[in-house]
Amino acid sequence: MTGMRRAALFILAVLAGAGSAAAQGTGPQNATLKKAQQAFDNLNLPQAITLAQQALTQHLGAGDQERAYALLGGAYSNQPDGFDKAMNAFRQVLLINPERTLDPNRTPTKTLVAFNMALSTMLLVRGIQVDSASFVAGQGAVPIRFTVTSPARVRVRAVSGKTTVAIDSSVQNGAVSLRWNATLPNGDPVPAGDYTVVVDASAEQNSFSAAERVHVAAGNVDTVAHLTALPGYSPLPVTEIPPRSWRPFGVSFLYAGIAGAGTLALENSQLGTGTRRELYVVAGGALVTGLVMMLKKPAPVPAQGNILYNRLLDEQLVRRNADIAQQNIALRRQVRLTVTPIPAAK
Amino acid sequence: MTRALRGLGLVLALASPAAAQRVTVGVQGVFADYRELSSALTYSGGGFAGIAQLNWHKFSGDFQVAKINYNPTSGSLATDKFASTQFDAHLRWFLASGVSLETGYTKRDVSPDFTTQNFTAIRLGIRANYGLGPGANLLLRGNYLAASKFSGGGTAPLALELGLGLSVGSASGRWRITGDYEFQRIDRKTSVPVPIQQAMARIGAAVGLW
Repeated sequence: MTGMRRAALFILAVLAGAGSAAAQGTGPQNATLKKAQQAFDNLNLPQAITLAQQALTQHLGAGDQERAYALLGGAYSNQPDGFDKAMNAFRQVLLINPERTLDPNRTPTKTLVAFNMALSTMLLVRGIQVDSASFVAGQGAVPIRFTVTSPARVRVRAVSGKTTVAIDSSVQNGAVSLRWNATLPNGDPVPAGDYTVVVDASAEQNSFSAAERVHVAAGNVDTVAHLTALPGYSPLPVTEIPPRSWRPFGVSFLYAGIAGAGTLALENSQLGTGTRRELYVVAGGALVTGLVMMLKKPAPVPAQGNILYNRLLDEQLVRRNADIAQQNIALRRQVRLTVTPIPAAK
Repeated sequence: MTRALRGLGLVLALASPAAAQRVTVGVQGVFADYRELSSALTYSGGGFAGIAQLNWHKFSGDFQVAKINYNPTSGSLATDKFASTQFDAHLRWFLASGVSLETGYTKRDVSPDFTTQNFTAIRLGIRANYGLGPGANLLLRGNYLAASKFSGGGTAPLALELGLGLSVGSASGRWRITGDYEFQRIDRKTSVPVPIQQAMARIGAAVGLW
């Protein structure tokens, strides 16, 4: 008894998952389809199948058609010998909505297997996605991703009015990642405007196309600012204060000594000796001045090493700025492309 | 007095703050000692002097005029005082490391005449100028006084001059306090030796004009 109850609960959960997976947004509009959905929810799968098939014979909108086939797929996948019918029903779902997915966490395994088998037997391009990107034309690219459900020759191109740019052509299967450099065959950047990235997949008689719209904007490339100083290098002071020196006093002592000794030597003994006050006053002044200059904080003197270093820095700065100017000339010739996807509603 | 003050104001107004002044003028107070013939004929005196200095590339020069009133010193046998007007010209050519070749002219007139000797000579020598620091300079000079002439006649085969100078002021040279010492020994000879010796000190101030 307990085992039967567990089985019933499991089936209920499974079918509820399948039903919810089949449901898309709002509920069905068609009355018969509503009844089919109720029967499905009540685990009355044969009645749900019958009612869904009846609903499909009526005039249904695309959403109700997708719901009806999804309901059939979910119901058949849980019926004995209903796997092929489930696959066929899911094929119809995918023809109506190629982007249709099932939540693997909420969908019964049988239903998922049937859905994936249906997917693998069809040629679809799903999940086409163009990233936003900004790059210098010729130096970057915008990523394009999509999934091809079965091996096929895939051609990708961007179309804007009369401009058609081939992006890629190759045999692909599964997840595909491409990069579009947004340039014309001659290397020039594509003109600014709205583009449609079209992915065409073909295999034998089957073919499928998907598209994504993007906007390409062209702008100037940022130029490099000129330098006012070399990073990491600072100019050094052009003057430095030398250490205190006895030299001023020594020289004044020497000069005063020479003057005094010279006077003594030149004095004519025949004329006697004077007071020498003239000598004492000036020589004393010289000695005092020398002493003061010796004790005084030395005046800054040019630092030749620093001056040479600063000159080298200036030369380097001029050279770097000349390089930057050349670089900016090249940058001004470049074009920055900004690619942004256009939302589907736009 | 008013004129003197106006003149000084004009001089200061003309003084510019240029880094290196080319023309400097100044006034000085002078005191001096003068001896002639023997230790019995000695004078001392004081007065005023004016100076103008020029600097141009490697050339420099100065012109000085000093007016000194000499009085006999105590113990001197001289009885007459006299006034001396001395004109000095120094012209220099810079050689290297503060050393300049110097030439010039000196002329000393006394009043009344024949109280002592009028004197003229051409000076030849060298001058060393040493910078003690910003705005402070020391100079030493030695000259041979050639072609000496005296109002009383005679020659001076040996006539030497020794000088010590001091200059302190702003680093730009706009203003300066100056001190100069000058010692002259002149071995004048007529029929007998009549030596002359003068020691002079000038203390004053100078301003750079431009």
